[in-house]
Amino acid sequence: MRGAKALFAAVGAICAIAPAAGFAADASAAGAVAGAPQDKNKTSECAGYGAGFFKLGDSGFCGKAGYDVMGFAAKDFATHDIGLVGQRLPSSVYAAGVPILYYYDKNFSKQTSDPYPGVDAQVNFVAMRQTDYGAFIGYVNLRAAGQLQDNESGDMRYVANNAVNGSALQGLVDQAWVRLGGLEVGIQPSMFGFARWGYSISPGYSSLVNTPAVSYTYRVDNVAGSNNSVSASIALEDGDRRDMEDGLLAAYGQTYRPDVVAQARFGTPNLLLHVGGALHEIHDVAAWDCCYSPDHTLWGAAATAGGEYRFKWSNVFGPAAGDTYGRLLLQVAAARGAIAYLGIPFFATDYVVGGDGDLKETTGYSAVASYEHLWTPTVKSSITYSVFGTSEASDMELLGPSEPMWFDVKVRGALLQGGVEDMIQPGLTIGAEAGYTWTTATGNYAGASSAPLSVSFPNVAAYVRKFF
Amino acid sequence: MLRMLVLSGLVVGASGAASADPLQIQSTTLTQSNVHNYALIAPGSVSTEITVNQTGADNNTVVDQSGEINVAEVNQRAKNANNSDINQVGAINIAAVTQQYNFGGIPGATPGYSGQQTNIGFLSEFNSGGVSILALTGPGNTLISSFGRTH
Repeated sequence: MRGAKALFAAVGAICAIAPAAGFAADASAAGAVAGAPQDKNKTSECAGYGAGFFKLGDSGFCGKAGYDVMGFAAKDFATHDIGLVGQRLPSSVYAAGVPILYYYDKNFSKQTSDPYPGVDAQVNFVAMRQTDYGAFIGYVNLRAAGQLQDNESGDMRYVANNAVNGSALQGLVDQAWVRLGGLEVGIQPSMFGFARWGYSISPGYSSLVNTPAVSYTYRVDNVAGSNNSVSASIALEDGDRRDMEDGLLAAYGQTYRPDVVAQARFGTPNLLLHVGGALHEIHDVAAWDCCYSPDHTLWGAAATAGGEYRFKWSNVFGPAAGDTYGRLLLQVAAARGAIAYLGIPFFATDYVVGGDGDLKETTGYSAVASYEHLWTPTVKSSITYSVFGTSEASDMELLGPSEPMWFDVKVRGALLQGGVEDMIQPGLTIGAEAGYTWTTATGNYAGASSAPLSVSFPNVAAYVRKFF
Repeated sequence: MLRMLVLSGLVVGASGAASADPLQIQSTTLTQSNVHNYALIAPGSVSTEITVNQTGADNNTVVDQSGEINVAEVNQRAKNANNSDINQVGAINIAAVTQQYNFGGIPGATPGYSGQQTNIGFLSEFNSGGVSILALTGPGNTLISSFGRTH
C-alpha cells in the first residue's frame, strides 16, 4: 500500500490542465492551454494563451509560472479507529499457512491528542507552442504537502501527505509531462479519476492520483455545431502506485504490464459526464516468498461513472432564487482486486493469497455526492457525503486435516464534510471545514459471525490559501 | 486413571530430559470460553507442554509440535462439537484429549484482539461476538501484518 494520507490538496492545481472534454467554462483555463491562442489580433504572440504568459526567448514557446500555497491547522478527534491484523496461521496441510484477518479497536489517542499545523505548497510552470501536429505543451508541478503530528510515542514528527512508495522525495514531483496534440507522456493525472473528489478541500472517497503514464486523448469540440464536446482517452499507467498490499495476505512481485485505463467524457456548458475503467495486474509472491507455494497472476479491475452539473438557481427556481450559482457532483466506483481505484482508506488489500497460492480478489465500492453553492462572487460553501464498502475474504482452507478455516471481513464507512470559503482578495482565500466519519467492521470466521465494531469521530480544520 | 498415569510418566520423562539437556520444557495453559472456539498451537521446534481448555458450543484445536519433548493436553467441553487434530514429531510425544458433550453453559469472552510475545512464542487472541481464535506460533512461523486508516 502506498499509504500517504492526503489530508488536503489544492484541487484547482490538479485538474486545471486536462485534455479531455469538460465544461465550456473551464476552457478559459484549460482550453487556452490545450488549444490555439484565443485572440489572434493581440500583438503579443503569448497574450492569447491567457494572462501571465510570456515569451520564452526565441524558442517559439510561451510560458507561465504559478504557485499555490496553503497553510492549515487541524484537529482530529479520533481517539479510536478500526485496526486490521493479518496473519498466516501455520498449517500441516499448506506450507504457506492459512490466511486470516482480524479487526479490532485501535487506540490513536496519542497521535490525535493535539491540534496540528500543516502546509501544502505547489509551484508549477507550463510552456507551450503551436506545431503542425497540434499544441506542444510541457508542464511541471512540484509539491510539498505534510503536517507536524504526534506519532505513537507522542513525539512530534513531520508526516508527508503526498509521499510515493513511502518517499517524500518522489512525491515532490507531483506532475511532469509533455503533450503533443492528444498524446501525453510523463507523471500526469490518472485517466480513471473524475475532475475532483467533491468540492470539499479534504478528500472524499474518490481516487485522484497522479501517476507515470502514456496517454492519448481524442477530443471533438462543438459537436454537430453545438457547444458540446466529447472525448475518449486510453492510458498505460504505472500500476505500482495502485498496489494495496500488506506483504502477508497480499504481496506484489514484479509486474510486467502497466495498468490499462480508459475514459470517455461528454461535456456541455453545464454538464460533464464521465465513465472510466481500469485493469490492474496482480502478481502475488506472498505465498511464494514464505513457502514456495505456486505464484499466481491475474487482473484486477475497476470502473467508475460520474457527472457534474452547474446551474444558476434563478434558472431552476425562478427570479426568487436570487443571483446565486451551484454545482452538483455525483460519482460511483466499483473494484475487484484493484481497491486503490476506490480512493478509500487502507481497510483492505487487493486480494488474499491462500496457502495453495490461489488468489481471491477483494471487492469494494465507493461513492461521492457533493454540492457547492456560490453565495456571492467570493463566498462559497460546500457539503460532501461519501461512502465506501469492502469485502475481503479467503477461500476455505485447512488448519489441520479436519479443521477448516476461512474468513470474510467487511468494512463500511461514510464521511460527511461541510466547509465555507471566502476569497478575501484576488488569489487569497480563507476557509474552514468540518467532517464526521463513521466506520463499521464485521466478520465471519468459518461460518460463525463475529460482532460488529463501529467507530465515529469528527475533525475540523481552518486554512488560508494563496495562489497565482 | 489411565490419563493420570500418562501424565505422571510425562513428569518423570520431562524431568529427566531437563537434567540431561539444557533445553527447558516451556509450559502454558490457554483457555477459551466463547461460542465458537479455534485454537492453533504451533510453537515450532521448542520443547513445550501445552494445555488447552475450551468451553463453548463448538471447540476446535489444532496442535502441531516439533520439539524434542512435546506434551499436549486438550480439554474440551462443548454443547455441539469437539474437534482436535494433534500432530507431534519429537523424541517424546505425549497427548491427552478429554472431550465432554452436552455442556450447557457458555460464559462468553471479552471482545478484542491482543498479540503478545510469550516465553514460548507469539500469542494472538481474537474475540468478537461468538468467535474466538487463538494462535500460539513459534519464531519461525509467526507472520503478522497490520494496516488500517492513518491518523
